[in-house]
Amino acid sequence: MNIRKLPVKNLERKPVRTAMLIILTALLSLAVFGGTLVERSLRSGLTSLETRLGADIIVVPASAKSQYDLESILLEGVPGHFYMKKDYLDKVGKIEGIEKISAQYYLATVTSGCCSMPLQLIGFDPQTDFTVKPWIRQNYSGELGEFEIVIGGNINSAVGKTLKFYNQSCTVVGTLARTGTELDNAVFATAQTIKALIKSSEALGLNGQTREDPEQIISTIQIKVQEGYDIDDVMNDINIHITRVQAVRTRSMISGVADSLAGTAYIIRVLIAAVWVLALVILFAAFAAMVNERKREFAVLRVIGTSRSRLARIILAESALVSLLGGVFGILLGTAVVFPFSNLIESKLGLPFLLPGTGDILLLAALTLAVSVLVGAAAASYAAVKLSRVDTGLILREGN
Amino acid sequence: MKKKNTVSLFLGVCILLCSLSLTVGVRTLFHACVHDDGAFGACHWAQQAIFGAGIVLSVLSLVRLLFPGNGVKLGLDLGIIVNALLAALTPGILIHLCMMDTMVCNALMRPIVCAIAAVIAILALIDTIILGKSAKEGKSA
Repeated sequence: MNIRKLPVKNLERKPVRTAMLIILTALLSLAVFGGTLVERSLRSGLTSLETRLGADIIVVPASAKSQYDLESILLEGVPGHFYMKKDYLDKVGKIEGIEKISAQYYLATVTSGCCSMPLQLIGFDPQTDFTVKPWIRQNYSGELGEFEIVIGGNINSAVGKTLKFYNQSCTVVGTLARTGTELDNAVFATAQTIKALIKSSEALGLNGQTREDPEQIISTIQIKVQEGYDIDDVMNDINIHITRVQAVRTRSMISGVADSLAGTAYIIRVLIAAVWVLALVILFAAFAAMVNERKREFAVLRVIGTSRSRLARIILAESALVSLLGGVFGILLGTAVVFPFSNLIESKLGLPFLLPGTGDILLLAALTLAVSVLVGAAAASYAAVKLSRVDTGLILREGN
Repeated sequence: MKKKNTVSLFLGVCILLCSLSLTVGVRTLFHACVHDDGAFGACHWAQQAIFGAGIVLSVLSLVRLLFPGNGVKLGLDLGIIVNALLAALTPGILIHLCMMDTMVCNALMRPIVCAIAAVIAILALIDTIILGKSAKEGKSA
């Protein structure tokens, strides 16, 4: 038999031991690949959320701050709605240090039947908007007409189809790229469309929020502060001089999400480290036991003229094969778990979750594979060194 | 030959267990969306279709275990592969699911059904190859 084929033959001869070693390395690479992918996706989600923040300050009705989780509604598009009089837009606009100002209109749909769930409808003023339009423009270049909508990446519909809200049919003209946040479940339209939908919802008796004329109300005021002005000073100015509204700094709201993410990422890193330590110990023990068990086999190979370095290469080749197979299985398993269940992971964690791009994922897979092979080689090197110190004659005499 | 029969028996048991978990799971652990008003949507009918396909898969895999002939097993394996593909294609492709990707039918039912159906199809395919080789070896002997 060709000695080059010996590592493969050795692995084939002991299928249970080989399978166990492959499973072990597969677990190692699953932990590295799956864990890192989830951590990266959480970070991508946060970055995506940060890039969606076009406004420095958001002004909401004072009552909304106590009634709603503003962070979820304003940053993540969790369905909810509140209104204040349109006059506040002019009042806030007079505060010094404001570069851009625009109103937004919120309306949450109601659950109806199987194929609908509460959605956040977000209306913006095309003339003054500086937060939603730049984002929409990445996917839709035209101007939104009445009852035309752009939908978030999680909504299963297509351009040209219609969605019905409060008995009004709206035509989908664009689908936004995923952000990994609840904004993927939101629908964007012009202020006119949202006002018409507010009227329809009131006609159906489904909007108990306001008795005001939809033309005279707004939900939030988005503010971009002029360069040279301190954002906190502008925010405090609004809070001091204008009553019944609350100005909130967007960066302070995102810090809560960032803190939760840091905690989750830390737990994931600890778990990966624990699996690593465990797998490393077991791999070292497994290869050491394997060499012990096969001392006579290696002694015979030495007697027939196989050099010590050749023996070491046989062990390293076996470990490389096992680690490679295990690494590939682990990556495939990680792919099969993380990708199809990404929506479930996102909803269970309650954090922005956006899978990285294909290039990053392929790079991560390659690194995981390299790490698996290196760890396997390290464990086998230890066994090979141990083997090089074995007295061949003594081993063969022990057998007699 | 004996080793191949043992592997085939092991694969048969795995296929039966997967088929049963698909049948029971789609009505319990990874069911379609539940509605407060009791209305049924498209995802409910997808669940019912998968449940039906699961029953067919369970019966086929049970019969496959009980019948001794390799020819019969081979035929049943092919039936299992086709049914598993049918189960995998039902949610989202043959029958539409709910509007939002984050809803239970899209986030949980669909990926689990596809995963189990893919495992069943792969196991049955491996068994088909093993049985096909055994049949060839038997003829040449």
